Amino acid sequence: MTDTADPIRLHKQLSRVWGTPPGLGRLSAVNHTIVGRRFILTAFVFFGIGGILAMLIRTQLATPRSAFLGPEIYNQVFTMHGTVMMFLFAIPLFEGLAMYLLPKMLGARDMAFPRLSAYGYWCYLFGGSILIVALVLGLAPDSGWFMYTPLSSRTYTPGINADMWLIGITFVEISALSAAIEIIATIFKLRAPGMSLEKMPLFAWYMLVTAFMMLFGFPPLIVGSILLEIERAFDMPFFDPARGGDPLLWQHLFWLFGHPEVYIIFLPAAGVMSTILPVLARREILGYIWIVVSIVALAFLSFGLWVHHMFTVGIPHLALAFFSAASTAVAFPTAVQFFAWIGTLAAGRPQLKLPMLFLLGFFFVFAAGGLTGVMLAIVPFNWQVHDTHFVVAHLHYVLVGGFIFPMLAAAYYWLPHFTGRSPRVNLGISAFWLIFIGFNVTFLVMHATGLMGMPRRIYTYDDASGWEWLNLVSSIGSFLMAIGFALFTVDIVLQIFMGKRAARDPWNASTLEWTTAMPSPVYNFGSLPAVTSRSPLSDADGKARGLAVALARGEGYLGFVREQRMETLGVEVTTGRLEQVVQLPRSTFMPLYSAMVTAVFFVAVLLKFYLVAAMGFVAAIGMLVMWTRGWGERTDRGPLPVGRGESVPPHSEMKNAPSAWAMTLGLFANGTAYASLAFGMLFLWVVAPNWPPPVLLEPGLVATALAVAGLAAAALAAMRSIDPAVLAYASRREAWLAVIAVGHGAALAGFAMLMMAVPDPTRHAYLAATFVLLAYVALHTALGMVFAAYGSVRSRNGYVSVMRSLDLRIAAQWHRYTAVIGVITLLLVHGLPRIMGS
Amino acid sequence: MTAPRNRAFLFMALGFTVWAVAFAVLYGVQGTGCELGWHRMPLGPLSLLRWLLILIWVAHLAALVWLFAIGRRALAATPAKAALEQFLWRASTVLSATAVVATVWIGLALLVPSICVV
Repeated sequence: MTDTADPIRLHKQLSRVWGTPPGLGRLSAVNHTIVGRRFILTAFVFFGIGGILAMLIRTQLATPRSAFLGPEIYNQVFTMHGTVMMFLFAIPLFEGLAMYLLPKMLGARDMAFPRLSAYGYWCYLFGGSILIVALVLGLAPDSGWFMYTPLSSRTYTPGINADMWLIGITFVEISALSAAIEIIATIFKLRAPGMSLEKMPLFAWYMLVTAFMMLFGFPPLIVGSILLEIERAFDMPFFDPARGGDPLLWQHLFWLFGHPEVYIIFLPAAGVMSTILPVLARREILGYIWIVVSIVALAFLSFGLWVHHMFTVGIPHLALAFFSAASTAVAFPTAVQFFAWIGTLAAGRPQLKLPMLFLLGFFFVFAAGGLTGVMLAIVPFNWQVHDTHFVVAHLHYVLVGGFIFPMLAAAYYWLPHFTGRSPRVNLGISAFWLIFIGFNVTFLVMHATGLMGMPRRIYTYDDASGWEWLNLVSSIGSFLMAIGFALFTVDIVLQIFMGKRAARDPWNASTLEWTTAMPSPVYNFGSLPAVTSRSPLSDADGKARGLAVALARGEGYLGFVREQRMETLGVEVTTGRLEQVVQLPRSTFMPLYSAMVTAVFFVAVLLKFYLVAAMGFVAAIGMLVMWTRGWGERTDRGPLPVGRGESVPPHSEMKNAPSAWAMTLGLFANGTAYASLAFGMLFLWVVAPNWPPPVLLEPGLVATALAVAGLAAAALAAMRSIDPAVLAYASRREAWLAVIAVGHGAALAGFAMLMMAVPDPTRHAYLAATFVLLAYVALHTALGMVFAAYGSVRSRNGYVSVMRSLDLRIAAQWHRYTAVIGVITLLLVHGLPRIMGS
Repeated sequence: MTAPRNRAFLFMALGFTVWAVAFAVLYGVQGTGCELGWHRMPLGPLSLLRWLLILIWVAHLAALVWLFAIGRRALAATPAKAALEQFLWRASTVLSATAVVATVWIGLALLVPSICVV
């Protein structure tokens, strides 16, 4: 540990430890500032691609019977426009913003799992690239961004186009799930000491709720995509009604993700609103607690709306009424936030600066989209305009209003923080008006086109349809909007390369990110603050101490470098009380290599090289395990001094370290995936045609007994392995770890026998679903063996003791989960046929 | 994390979790009941399926009212100085109350349309 009263010397020391190597070494970056910026930049590149596709669509539709694009290309273009904008632009953009901002707002030096951030980024880039390469080769998906079956099934889409979507998007979703886990763990554990939940910035509340929504919203889509790919590749009939499948299962799984997705995109943007608006209104936001309540309510309600995308598929009226009611109810928490923002503006002294212009654009556009949303929630109206351009207009009002306008405001607001520069030539105002006018010309008119009956997704129309002028006006508006976005891009580039040096905290804000130097150093803070209010930068304490200067001088926590380690602080979840020192990893190429190996797996599946895919999967697991090589403590260290006279233990000696939270959260997502799978089987049994199945799974008593005994042994041994009396002796804990491995091995054998006993799974959806459920547990038992072996290696290498049992505790969660899921699966596959009858 | 604060934080999610369970169970039982023909089994003035759905609705409403009462009691017992606890219990109580209203709202339809007509 070094004494560092001199801020320059402290800066040099911290930069040396936290820095990323230059040149190609930058590919090893795991730092949240760098990875966050990469996410944002890449998302904007994809936005440009999606925008060009939109222009192609509007060019095609500008005139009737246009020969600009043929139907095959047009189908690829509109499918890719939706896919790129939703999966490759909107989600990664707010993930990047959250990664960049959260540690700085919360008073931490990085996200909880920097290597996971970097791995997520590479997965996003590689998965997105698969889709763009497909587009360039003319092999892009062409069944719509929702990929409805049977259109996307092998019969009607025999080529590789649909596989491109299923594989590419599943690959990209790894980054969404990893980001969700990381965001929650970071917000829960890596806040500045004293930042209790009621003092947390609203942006963190928004991101916390959004991340939970991602955790529960994305698994149904991933499961649906895997099932559809299995059906396409191996002919297992989950969605084929002739063999007990049902296309509606796909719609349920897709929209279980798809509707919350709208709010997953909206909430971070609303978080931006709640952060920027009070600063520019020059007063604290009104109704902090009401906003928090609204976010939580909105998140839950948004999971009860998915069937409003399916109002015309033939669902009983009562069920329609449930979803219609929930769809109207969701307007209330949104309105509460609106009123809080309007009230803040009314009670403050608003400044019409450039970001505020975009915020006002949000108010107008999103309110209009919300109102048409309420109209669409009403079943009879929905039936009238279903699949027309009215819906296209509505969704663009919601998504552009609810996401793009706030994000453009965010770009102008935080750009000085990103670049350290402020604008010299301000083109932003012109850009705003071009985008705002262009957008409304394009989409306001489109409501009328839709009400006049123009369907979505048609590549041309007749010149006597009555839609000609409206479409031409829409297309002119869209080009106006595109010019606006081009001007925005030019403005940003000019600001980055020619902007003036920006002063620290140019907006007179009060959140912690503005205490860092601009642009922010990689370690964020010379020392970490103690927080006593919601406005640490502008409260009396912050002003009196000159918080930014005091932190740079090292007067806060961890204002020093200990043993060349990268350290930040961990706190209690609710109180923000100082709890642990969290050590973070240095730059490493492992996330990049792991993503490359993961890409091998996905591309091999795409090309149907299944042996290579299996090798890629094993290699990817191996690479992920390798991340921890040489990582951890080999001795018990006890409490470590962190400055300001306080000492706390390292995270490796804590039961509730961020990594323990990560496993818990990962299992929540995993459990949601399993629930989606089980729901699929139940749904098909109750609703799908051609049931009961022609043949059932034989009970297989030996296999079942072996599976149950193995699962029970693994779970019980896992509990024993973390008992202090066992942890104290290497031989005992390794013996129990061996029991876990043997238990999983026995369970794996049992489940493998049951899988082999399933009659030809291509015959009926029941057999296919049974096979997949059993395979799901078999995979978990195999990974359980990996966890046990990993624990054993860690124990032998001296990383485990009574105090340092984190590795084994994390693995124990997996073993318990596998046991529970295994038993439920056995009850389902053996019990359901008896309950439902054959 | 001390137990009362922990509990208050969990309560923030509990009200709407009950709402979500009510929603899922109502939708699931309605679909299953229609498939199995429970709407054709009369039980007094209503069908078996409608009784079952109303029972599920009322049971969840009762659970939510109970959660709301717990939250209110805890809020009243929390000292004004305890800012974090005040915040968490206040938010939990409002969320439980909102969940009650949302559950009443989605369930009102149980009393009106035919259950299984497509």
